[in-house]
Amino acid sequence: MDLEVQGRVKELAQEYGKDNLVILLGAPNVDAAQVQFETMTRGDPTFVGPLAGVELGLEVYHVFEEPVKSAIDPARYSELIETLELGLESDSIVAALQQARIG
Amino acid sequence: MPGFRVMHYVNQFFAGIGSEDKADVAVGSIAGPVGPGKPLQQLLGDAAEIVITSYCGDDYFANHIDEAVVTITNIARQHKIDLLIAGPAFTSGRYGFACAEVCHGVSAALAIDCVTAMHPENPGIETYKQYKDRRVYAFPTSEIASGMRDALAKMAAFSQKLLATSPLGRPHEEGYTPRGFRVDTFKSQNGGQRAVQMLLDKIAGRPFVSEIPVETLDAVPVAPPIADIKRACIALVTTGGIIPPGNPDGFRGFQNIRWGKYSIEKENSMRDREWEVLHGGYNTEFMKKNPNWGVPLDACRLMIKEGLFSRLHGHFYCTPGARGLLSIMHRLGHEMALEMQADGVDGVLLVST
Repeated sequence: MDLEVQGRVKELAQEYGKDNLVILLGAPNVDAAQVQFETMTRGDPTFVGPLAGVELGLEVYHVFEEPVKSAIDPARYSELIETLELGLESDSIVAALQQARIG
Repeated sequence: MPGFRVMHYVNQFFAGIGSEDKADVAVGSIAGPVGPGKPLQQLLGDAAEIVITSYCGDDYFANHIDEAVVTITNIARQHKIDLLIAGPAFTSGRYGFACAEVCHGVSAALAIDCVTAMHPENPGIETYKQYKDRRVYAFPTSEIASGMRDALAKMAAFSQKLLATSPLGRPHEEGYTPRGFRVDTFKSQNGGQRAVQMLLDKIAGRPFVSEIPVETLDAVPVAPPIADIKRACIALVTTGGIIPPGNPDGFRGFQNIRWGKYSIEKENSMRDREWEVLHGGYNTEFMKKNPNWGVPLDACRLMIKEGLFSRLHGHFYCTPGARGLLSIMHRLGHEMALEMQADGVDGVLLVST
């Protein structure tokens, strides 16, 4: 995950508190989604960025996941996201994040 | 204070220098552990201290392999290190290749153990297997960096064993990728008994381990024949190492990772111009005297006159092929083919050296 983004999220978590933050991912594949999820929860797995060794434990969702989908106006979701959902490995991404939450 | 001194080698990203934009950064070093070196140090505990981290940009290393390895080896020598840990590189091909080359160079020059880690399909693993260094060990990792902790744990644990000169088990016991050394051992059953037992296990669906693993290569589908050869455009490709004088593209005698293309538009024979021959795998004297043996330009010009095919591509494509890594050659061939397709080439003549 981009080092600047890591730094910004760290600042926001300090400013607003972890409980007041939700991270929404738009990663296009399983690998990127997994690395971003890990960075936002257990820390930067590469140990290079500001979140190296920092376990924020934030709540993380992907835009393809049901809790997010159902919060978006269906017409807008269909217009903006549905094509991407059909073209990308959305089922695998959702399954990977569900697994990551358990693990 | 730990007694053993370790150097950690990483690329520009893991050194915190930058991403792809800094892939051309030259060899450098930073005191102590950096980035993933910090959890690595925690895992090493009191057994060893990472006294220095050396780094190099992935592109810089690829374009200056020998010079970079010498510089990194000198850093290790200056800091009197006892062991080198490189990576983990996961699936990053340039980084994995650099880790394998650095481990080879340092272990050969300083006679110390080197531990690295990367995904089994990383091209660096081929380099590691080709060098077959007794004191270099590569551990398999996951594809992506979320496997970092696991990779560091494996490297640290094995490094501690090496530094303590503990007896080592076989690769499958220790977890590192085999290098292909044959070790004599005694077995309670003879070969025939073991082979029959293996067959019975296989038939019954029980797990078994072959004593001689058979390497398989992917089948390459054969292209259909050229429909109308008389109207075809043919391109010449050589792995024989024929290159322009002065080696402007910086090829090595072996294990190249790039290709070049050189104009033959105006020539009717390779002897119409000066060429050099660089190849670490055969006696190149005959080729230097007559490079048409490797790039049959004279024969092709004759064949065009005789109407055997229509046109010869204006460039020949080249990479010295000695000890070429399969994965690298696969990539180079693919890149050449894409360009040839765009230029309307119908077929390729790749003369065996």
